[in-house]
Amino acid sequence: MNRLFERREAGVLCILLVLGIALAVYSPAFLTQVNIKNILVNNSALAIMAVGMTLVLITGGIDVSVASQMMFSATLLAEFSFLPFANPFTIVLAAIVIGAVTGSINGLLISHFNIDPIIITLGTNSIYRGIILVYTSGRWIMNLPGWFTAFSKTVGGVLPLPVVYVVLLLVLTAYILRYTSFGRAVYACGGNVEAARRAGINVNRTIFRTYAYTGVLCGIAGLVQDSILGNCQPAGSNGWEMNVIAAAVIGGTNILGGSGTMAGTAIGVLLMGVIENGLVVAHVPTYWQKLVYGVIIIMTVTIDILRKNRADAGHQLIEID
Amino acid sequence: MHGDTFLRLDHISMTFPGIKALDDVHLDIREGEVHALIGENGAGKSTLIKILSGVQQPDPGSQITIDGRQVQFQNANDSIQAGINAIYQDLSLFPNLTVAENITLGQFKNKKIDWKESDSIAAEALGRMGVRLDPHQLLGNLSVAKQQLIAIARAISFHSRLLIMDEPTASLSFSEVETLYSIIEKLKQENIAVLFISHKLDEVFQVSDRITVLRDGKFIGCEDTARLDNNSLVSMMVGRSVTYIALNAQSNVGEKILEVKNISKKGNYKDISFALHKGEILAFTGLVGAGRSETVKALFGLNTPESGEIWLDGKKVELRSVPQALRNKIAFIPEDRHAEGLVLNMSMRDNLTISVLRNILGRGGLIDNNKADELSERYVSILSIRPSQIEKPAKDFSGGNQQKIAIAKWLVTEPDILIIDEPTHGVDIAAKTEIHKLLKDLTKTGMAIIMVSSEWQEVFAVSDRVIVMRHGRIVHEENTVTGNQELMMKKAILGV
Repeated sequence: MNRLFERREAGVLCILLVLGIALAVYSPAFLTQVNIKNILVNNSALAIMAVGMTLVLITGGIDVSVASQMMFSATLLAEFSFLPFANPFTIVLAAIVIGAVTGSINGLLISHFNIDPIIITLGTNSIYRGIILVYTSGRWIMNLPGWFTAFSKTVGGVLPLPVVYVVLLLVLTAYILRYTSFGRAVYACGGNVEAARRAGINVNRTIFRTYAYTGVLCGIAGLVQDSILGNCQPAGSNGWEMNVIAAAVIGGTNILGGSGTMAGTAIGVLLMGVIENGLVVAHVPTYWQKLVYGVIIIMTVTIDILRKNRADAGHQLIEID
Repeated sequence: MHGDTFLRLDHISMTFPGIKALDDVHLDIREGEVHALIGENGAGKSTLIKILSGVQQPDPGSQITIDGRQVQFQNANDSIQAGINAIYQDLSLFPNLTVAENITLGQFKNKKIDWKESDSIAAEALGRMGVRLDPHQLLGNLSVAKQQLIAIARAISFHSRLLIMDEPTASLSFSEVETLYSIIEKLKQENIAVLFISHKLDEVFQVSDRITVLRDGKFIGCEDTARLDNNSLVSMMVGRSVTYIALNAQSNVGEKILEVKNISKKGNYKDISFALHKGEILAFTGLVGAGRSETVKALFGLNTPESGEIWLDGKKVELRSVPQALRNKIAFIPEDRHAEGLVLNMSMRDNLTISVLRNILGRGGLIDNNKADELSERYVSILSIRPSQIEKPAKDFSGGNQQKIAIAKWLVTEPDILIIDEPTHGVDIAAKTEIHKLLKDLTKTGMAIIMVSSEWQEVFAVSDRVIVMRHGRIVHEENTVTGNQELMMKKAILGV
């Protein structure tokens, strides 16, 4: 039990609960089934990308192209859905393939040419977004077919399917991190890359797979987002990559690599979603949103660092008789 | 006593652009032996280790045979599969993972990781070494000595036949070295061979069965340890006989410059009082963790005392920050010159002038490159830094020369008191002797030097006086010319 409270997730979970209770007391509109469903559904694409981002951050990398990759997939899938052979099965396949392509390009450039990931993904961020803007001239793709939007329907009136996807991907990725040698390699590369190489880990392949996997998740996020909105706005979701990174970091992922968990990231996404929603419920102008995000990010990370410093100081003490 | 030879390296050569790091080197390892590999810095030991552990591939024509079969190591994994595990000087572990995770990383190739089995593998490996540790704690929270034990546990859990230990005692205290020796003894009984790389010859004589010597990338010889002594080994290593020359017979000690009165800081040092004189080399020694570095940092404004007084030239001073210490003409050269002393990517000139930027300013307050060059070249020649190219990045110099650059960087501030932490840590004998001589020469100008050192021979060869610390307190002080080495060691280790 003690171990549980020492964990980073516990702190953020407490903030989330306190905030949730405060909002519930302040406004009866917060703790309603419709409102909770909205928070979960509106953040599902972000959550799926945050799963991938967590892996990338654990290896010590970063991917600022996630939002572009998602829109790249969303735009191509929206076009795809009007083709004769489009159906729920082929479109899922298409989402995975599109994401695998964009993610693999990132991964290949970063691992093979050994270029800093922030530079590569800044570049591809612009390229992926540029391609779809050129292709669509920025026009919205409207009225997606009913079978497409059915991907985000609510089953039995209570269970929205996007939430099911998020949970499945969280569990799958948590399993990969904990029980596969790839998962171990992800933590090892982020902890000490030279030691990982000496331990016989194929570092380049691990890095490549991490970005490719994140690409696939972005591809799926594109499908989910299209399906929720019922249309596709190629210029939309601008700047989401920052929210994705923030969610992972708030959830305890070390931006310098080495640590991070799926549970933490899930809580991080929820916390950001509740803050966004809470500001609306509390009738605070949405302009405040960014400012509050910033404060929360700095606050959670600072508390974490302070706690770590104090723990370290404890170890350095010399025994004086 | 010894087993059969199971691993042979023949005609190993390794060419880097412009340099032949290894030239026709031989090495054979017998089952269950402790084999020391020695040579000066740059002799090719590290390259040989990298080849053995599959990190680098030797030139064509090089032969590695295991149990009579020729093998090739394309990567680290091939070497690990063949039963060879290296424990690097930096340990190459993962601070972000638990003890058990560190030990079993790579054990579950391409199958589901079984955490129960992982725990039992870790427990078994630690048990075989007689080490008791909670396998679920984060490795980053352990001391370096304990981390090294984890690195060994990790290696033996892979069913190693050969363990390579690169400078395993470099950051260990005396009692920890004893633990390491007893573990090496246990490994021998399990028929695991150890390739032991060390700068410290007394260690080599104590633990090894055979010794292979490399010099300038060439194989010099392999002998039974029993058939060698200090002198014959050193002459194999350097091609000439070198021992530490006692430099302290001639003393330059003058009047008192610094007096420290009863300074204390909780958890760091307690009740420290001593005096320092012009032209004196005062050594601080004791076990790692005795509070030596913590104490001397107090004089550089880095670890300010909570009580007590510091007097400089008969005046009471406050040393609460580095600028205050610098204004009082005190310089400090840290032990870890990579992390704290040098900016490795910057040129030697930029490193040398970084702490005296004010002195090299020209018109308009901008840096005058001519002045910088002049200043750098002066110190390059005073310290005979090789090569003397001031534009070369610090990382391209050898360990001994990097140490000299670190020293020069603080000499340019023209201090009255120079504090130097482990001045010869990790450099070869020739470079050590040169640094010793340099320190002695500095005292002729009246500079007072405080030297923190773990090496007894160095303390007795170089310093005028030694202070022994234990558990944050001064337990002994004596003159090194007339003093008793054995008594000092007893004080440090046992406190009696």
